[in-house]
Amino acid sequence: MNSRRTKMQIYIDILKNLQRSNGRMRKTHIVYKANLTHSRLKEYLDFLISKEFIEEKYIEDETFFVITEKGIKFLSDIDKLRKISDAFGIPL
Amino acid sequence: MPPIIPIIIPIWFYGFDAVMYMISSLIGFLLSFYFHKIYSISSEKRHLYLFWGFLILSFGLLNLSIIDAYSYTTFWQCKPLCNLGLLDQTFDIGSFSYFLYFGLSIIAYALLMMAYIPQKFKIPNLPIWLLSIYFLVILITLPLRSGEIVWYSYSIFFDLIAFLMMIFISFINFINFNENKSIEPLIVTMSFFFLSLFHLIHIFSSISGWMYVYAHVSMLISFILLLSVVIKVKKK
Repeated sequence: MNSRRTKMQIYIDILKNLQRSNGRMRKTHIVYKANLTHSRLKEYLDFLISKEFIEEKYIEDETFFVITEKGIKFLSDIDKLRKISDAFGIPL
Repeated sequence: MPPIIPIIIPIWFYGFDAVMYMISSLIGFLLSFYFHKIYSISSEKRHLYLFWGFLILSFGLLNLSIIDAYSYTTFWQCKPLCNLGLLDQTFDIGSFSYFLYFGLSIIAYALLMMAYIPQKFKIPNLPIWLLSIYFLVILITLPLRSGEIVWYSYSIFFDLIAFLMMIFISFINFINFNENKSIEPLIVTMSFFFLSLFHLIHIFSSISGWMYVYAHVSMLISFILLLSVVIKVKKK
């Protein structure tokens, strides 16, 4: 198993953390949960926004990142792939 | 005149094997599609080996399916003048197609093995080594087989090697099942076991036509079991 996370694994970590936190999080919270620097996180968030997996929302003067239906479906698809991989004895 | 092909295929089974190869290859393509997706997420080589393994195996089976369908169609057209037991031009192509399938399957199984061999025991370029050994055996034994159709008469060599490789993969998957105790790894273990059974029974196809039928039923069961894993996971 690779010790370094791939880009895809980081995207999945961000989405999973958002899902666990009732679907929304502040940027600083994501930085902490995803174990990334602010500058690197921006790159990942921009990608996830471009794919419509998350969206930026302003709630009570605060900026939140919210997971979309498309993002939830993506995580569900990933989970299915993980189960297929596990069945073959090679965990994802 | 070369000797009769040492494999007996019941006439009523003509065409069924082509359909079975086609179904198996489609399932193989589906699995390779999923393992490509999995590899794009994990970037792990073992997933890449499974992707290439299933893809190459599927191409081998697809090739057999097409050539079998062509051969049988030709046979039914010329019946009762031609005899399937005798090697005509059609069956020269068929023999070559089988030989191609043997080579592709050995590469595919070697790739599947590489996905399961622990890192410390890994042999670099295992598929190339196995394929080289396979061709070497053919070259060495070639003078002993004068008068026989070269491609087809090597199916026993192939089936024996393939059986041993599949038994190894089944065993590793059984260990995985033993650790997880869940149904999906058990189905995968059974699937690889049925594939090894396919090769083992196929060795005895010269004894009875039923052996050829049983072997192919085992192969189909193997791939249907693999499909059932995908369906089961997708339904959850």
